[in-house]
Amino acid sequence: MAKYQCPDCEYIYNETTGEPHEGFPPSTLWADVPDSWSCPDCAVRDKPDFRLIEGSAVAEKVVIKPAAQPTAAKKKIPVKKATLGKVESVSDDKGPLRKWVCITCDHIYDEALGDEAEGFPPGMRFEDIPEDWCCPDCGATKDDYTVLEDK
Amino acid sequence: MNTTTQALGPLTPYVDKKRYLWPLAVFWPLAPMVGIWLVYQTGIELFYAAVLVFWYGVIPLLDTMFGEDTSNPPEEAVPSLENDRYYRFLVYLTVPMHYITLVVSAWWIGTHDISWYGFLLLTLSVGALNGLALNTGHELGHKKDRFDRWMAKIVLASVGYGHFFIEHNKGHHRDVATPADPATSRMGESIYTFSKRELPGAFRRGWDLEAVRLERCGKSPWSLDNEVLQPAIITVALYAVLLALYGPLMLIFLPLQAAFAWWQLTSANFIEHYGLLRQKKPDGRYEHQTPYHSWNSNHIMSNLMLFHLQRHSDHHAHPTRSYQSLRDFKGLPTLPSGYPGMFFMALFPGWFRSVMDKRVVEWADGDLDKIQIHEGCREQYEQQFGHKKAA
Repeated sequence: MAKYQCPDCEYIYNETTGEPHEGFPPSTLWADVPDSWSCPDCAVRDKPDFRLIEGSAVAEKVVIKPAAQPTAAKKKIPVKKATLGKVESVSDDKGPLRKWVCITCDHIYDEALGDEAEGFPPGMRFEDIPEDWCCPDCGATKDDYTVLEDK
Repeated sequence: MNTTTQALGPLTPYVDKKRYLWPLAVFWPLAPMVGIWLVYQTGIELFYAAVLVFWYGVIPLLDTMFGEDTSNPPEEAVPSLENDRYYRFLVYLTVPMHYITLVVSAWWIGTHDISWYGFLLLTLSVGALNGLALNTGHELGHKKDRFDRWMAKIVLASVGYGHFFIEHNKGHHRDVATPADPATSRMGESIYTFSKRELPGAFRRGWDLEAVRLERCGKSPWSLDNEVLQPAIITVALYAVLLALYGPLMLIFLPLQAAFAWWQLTSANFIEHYGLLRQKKPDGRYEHQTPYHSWNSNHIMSNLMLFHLQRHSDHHAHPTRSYQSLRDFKGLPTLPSGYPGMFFMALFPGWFRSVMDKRVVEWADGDLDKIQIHEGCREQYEQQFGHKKAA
């Protein structure tokens, strides 16, 4: 059973407990939550925006076979089993490089990659970025970035 | 934590300059009673209009006088600001204020001689200020606690607009600045045209969203779990009691004050996203709600009376942030005045358009394709602003 988190308001969807108020009884799999479903707390992020924070993503769906096939009208078929790929982490003599996320628009500054368009070479530390730099996507200030924790 | 503080030397703790000014928003909804008191003292019924003059006239002047406050709480102070119960307590305290204003005004009308115009002015005053019940309900409805959400339903019930709690949080925030949103106005649209789309559209969306949720829960839309019906039941009960106590004049007073309260919300919706449009991404979804999809205002006076509602840009980007933590950002689309001034301006479509249309075009870098334009106005705008496609 996995947990998924809204990247904006930190609401957590837990497959174990489901979200009965929204009509998802306990042990409703994430895969069975409709894609159009919005975060019940902030509504500004939808299911595809959520992040897996615990457990593994099991895409199991109840698939209804076409009526042409007479055997077993309903059957649980494991469609695919996937875990989210871990993000590469690069180390240098100053310790591990980190990723920073803009709390306004989720833009990520990855120290390992730098940002060529902004003129920051790979390996450039977030602390070395000028204080008056703004998020290239939404214009938020440098203060609006927080460290993105990798698990 | 402490070690870093020591290493950096003593840090000055953040002091919220507005902390002890927020009670303005708590007690301002009682203002119609000041009007009643003035009439009681002088016998001049024009004093019932004091609130209306203050709301539409004096506050815009004070906004001009006191100007804007662009200061933000530092991000490290936000968790303690969010957890400071004082701020939330003020919003709770505002809930009974709306009820006091409604009941006292109903009592006054039901038990005193009042001329037709005195009645009208008092009713509109109550409507203007209980329109702020929607603001109070708005702040509470966005919170995650069950208690807060119930308080939201209770305060919204005082003006019979309980569906706002669903419609706004799950509908307007999801669809904002897209053509699908009945609560986003289009450039060239007048507030009067907009209201005919917004009022029924909002109700329908609120009801439909609840029906979908209840269906997933295996319940009927007429079940008592329907969060649109719950506050509606409170409204019916409350208004029935007032009718029984204060007689047939309530049949005019209650619907009229409610309608004018709804008009305040319509005004807010009208100015908050006028013309703004989110672009569709290649995968068919709209780009995320960023601060650039709402008109912002930092006017200090009206912000204090509205629990920072006018810091609307940050609110739409992060709807669950509390009022005390809302921030300003650089380069936001900005309103030239606070909400009360803009509400007044919106009543005169020509004036409003002459002030706002050029700001919308500037926001879109002159690309009319990036703007939501009211049906039939496109050609006129192409002539007025030229049609420049952004590279």
